[in-house]
Amino acid sequence: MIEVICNDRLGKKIRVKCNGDDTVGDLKLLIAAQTGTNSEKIVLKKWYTVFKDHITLDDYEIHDGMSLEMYYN
Amino acid sequence: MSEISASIEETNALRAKLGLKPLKVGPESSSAQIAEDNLKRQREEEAKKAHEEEVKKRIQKAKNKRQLNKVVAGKGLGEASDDDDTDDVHKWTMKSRQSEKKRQAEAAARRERELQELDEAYQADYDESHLSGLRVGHDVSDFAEGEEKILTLKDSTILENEEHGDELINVQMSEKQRLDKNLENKKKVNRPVYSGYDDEEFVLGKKKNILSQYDEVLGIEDEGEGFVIGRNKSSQRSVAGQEGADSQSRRELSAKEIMNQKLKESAIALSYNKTQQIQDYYTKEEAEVTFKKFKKKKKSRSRKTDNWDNEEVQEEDSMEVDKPAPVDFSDMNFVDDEDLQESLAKARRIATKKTIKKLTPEQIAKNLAESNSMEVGDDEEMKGGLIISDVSEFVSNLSSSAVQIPSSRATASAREKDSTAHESVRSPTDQDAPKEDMEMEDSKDRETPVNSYSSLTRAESEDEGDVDVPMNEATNDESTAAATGAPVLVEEPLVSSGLGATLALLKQKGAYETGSAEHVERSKNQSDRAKWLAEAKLREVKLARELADQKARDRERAKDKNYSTRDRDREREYENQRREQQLLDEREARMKNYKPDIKLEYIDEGGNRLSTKEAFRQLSHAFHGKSSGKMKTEKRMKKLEDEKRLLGMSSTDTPLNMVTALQERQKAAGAAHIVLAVGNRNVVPSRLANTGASGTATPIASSSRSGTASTSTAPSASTSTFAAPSTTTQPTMSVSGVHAPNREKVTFGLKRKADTASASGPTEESAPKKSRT
Repeated sequence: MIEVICNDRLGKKIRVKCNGDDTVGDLKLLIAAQTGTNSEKIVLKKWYTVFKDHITLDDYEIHDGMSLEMYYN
Repeated sequence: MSEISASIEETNALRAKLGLKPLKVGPESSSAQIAEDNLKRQREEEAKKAHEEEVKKRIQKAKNKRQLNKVVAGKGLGEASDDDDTDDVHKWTMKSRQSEKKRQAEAAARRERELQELDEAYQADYDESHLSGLRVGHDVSDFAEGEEKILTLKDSTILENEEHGDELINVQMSEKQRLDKNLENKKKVNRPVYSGYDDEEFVLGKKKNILSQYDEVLGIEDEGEGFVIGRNKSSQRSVAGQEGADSQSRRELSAKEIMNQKLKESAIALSYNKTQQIQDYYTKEEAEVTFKKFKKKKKSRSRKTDNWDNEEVQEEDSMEVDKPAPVDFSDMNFVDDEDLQESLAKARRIATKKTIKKLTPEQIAKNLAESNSMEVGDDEEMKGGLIISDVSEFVSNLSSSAVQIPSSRATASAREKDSTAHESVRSPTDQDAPKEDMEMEDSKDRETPVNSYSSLTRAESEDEGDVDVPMNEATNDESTAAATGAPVLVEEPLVSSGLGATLALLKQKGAYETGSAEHVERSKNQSDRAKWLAEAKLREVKLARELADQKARDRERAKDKNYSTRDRDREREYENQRREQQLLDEREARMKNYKPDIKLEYIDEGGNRLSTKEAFRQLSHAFHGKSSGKMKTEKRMKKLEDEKRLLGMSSTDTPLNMVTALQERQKAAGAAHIVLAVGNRNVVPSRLANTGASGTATPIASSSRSGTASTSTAPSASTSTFAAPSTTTQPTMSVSGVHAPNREKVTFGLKRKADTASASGPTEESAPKKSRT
């Protein structure tokens, strides 16, 4: 289990517990469930890299305690 | 801002709702760890397998060996055969025994060695003896008693190691050493470095690097200090160390060091005893040690007859007998103080200059006196040698300036008149040794030539005046003739009578101009120049002669034995100076009234001389590449032609040749007059025109009447005649107008009147008369 911090810098900062082999799409679902936003609208980014939904967190080398940038479409 | 977070349970519930696996809680077993474990296990298995195989192989080997031994056991082929051979049994056994023994001994030795090696390898105690011969890089004094120091092998390259062998050092101690050294160097920086000598190079034997005082010591420098373990008995240390160092240094001295050593041995001290005085006499050793005597090449004297020099040489020789061997100081430097030497040299120079200056006149005077006395004493003895008295000097000066002028200028007569004077002037220079009494006479004579010269110049100027006078007279004649104007038409001189006549004719016609002021000036200048050139030539000749004389005199003087070379030189120098001065003066005088005669003339393609304006125009046209237009050129050509015609015109006739026409008419008519017009109508009837001349008529008189006649309006025909003023051309004829009946108009007048009369129309002639007287 890893814990990822997502911050949209607009007032929402979420600490999400997930597995390393979860996909980015799963993570988005979890975030959506916790914040109440539509999961389709969430964009996860680290700098200029936009994470794609079908790739796992391990593959993106997202580890425990990392923070991601959250944007909305 | 607060973070939104969910607990694991909440998350799991959420995940269940979303259809995801629950979270993996607990220790994490990553795939990498699993893989590692797998690998470890695999390797262990492999190792076990390999060991088993090895053991198996060993067992197999042993089995094989045993089998082989079993096969080989018993007697071999050789043994069997040898056993049979009785003869060689003894020998063979001996041999085999020996070999056996040897083999055994060898085996024993090997075993022993192996054992020993093993022993050595495992020997635990390692004592002082093992270290003997090792070098330690520190001084013994650095190690305190009872102190423990760890020594390590010093870092060194292979080459260094081979050269010096192993060396033990203590890192801390060497570090400390280095620090000390650097500190010392730093202290040294403040001290002045440059000493002005490169002593250190020679003393230390190696060149220092640039700014070496700033260098830091990086490694430990091998300064030869240190000791060798095993030789460390304190009592022997100094001796042994020195010995060791000596032998070592002997061994280890590189070629460079040997060279340095040699140089040091053969070094020469540059310091010398400054206070050492130069002595007149040296002991033999001193002289030999300090100076090297150079064999001086003796100059072979060119003049061997010179007694003076010979005497000197002899004197020297005689002196040399008791003199010690002369010491040559040429290659010795005694100069302590250069400034002093310089000032001394200066003083010496000034002194010599003074003496020379002072001496010259005195010397000359002395020479003169000597020569005079010689002269008076015996004339016969004196053959060569010059006598210089003030008189002779005066004469030589005089002649040089006086002679040149008259000789060039003088006319033949003057030269004749003056010849005696010239001779007297020249005599002193020609004769090399005149007697004294003669000289007195000469000097008297000398005054006369000067006078004669002045008189001569006066005469010359008169001559010149004479030359001028006739010309002036000629011009004056002409001018007076023109002024009186007695004959208006002058007779033309005949060219056939000669060149003079031609010249006169040309002059008369104005083709040849004489006596314009400018012209006269120019001709005078030219003659001056010619004169000047002649003078110059004469002067040159004279100078050459003088020089030759001088040389002859010098030669004779050189023969004179009582004349020292120095005096001779001085004399010669003086002479040269005098001559040069004289030459310069002359040149200046010559150039005083030098007027170059320059006149620029421009001539066009027709050969006509151009005026300034015309010349400019020509140049301008040439420059601009275009000339004036057709009209202008024509105009100019016409003008030129007119001028030419004017020149070609006879001076005794009108341009239309009226005079000749009249004369012809007179000849044809046999009358002295021509009837130009008759009566009022100004018509000459053809009869009259043809025959009037032939008929005798009363002569018409007097030109005084003609004026009135022409003005009067007589009803009858008036006759006008035109008679040439023939008095000059035909001296035998004289015209006298004979008065005719007053109808006739007779004109004796100028051509213009006649022209108008003839042009006015037909004239009547009643009775033209001309009578001869």
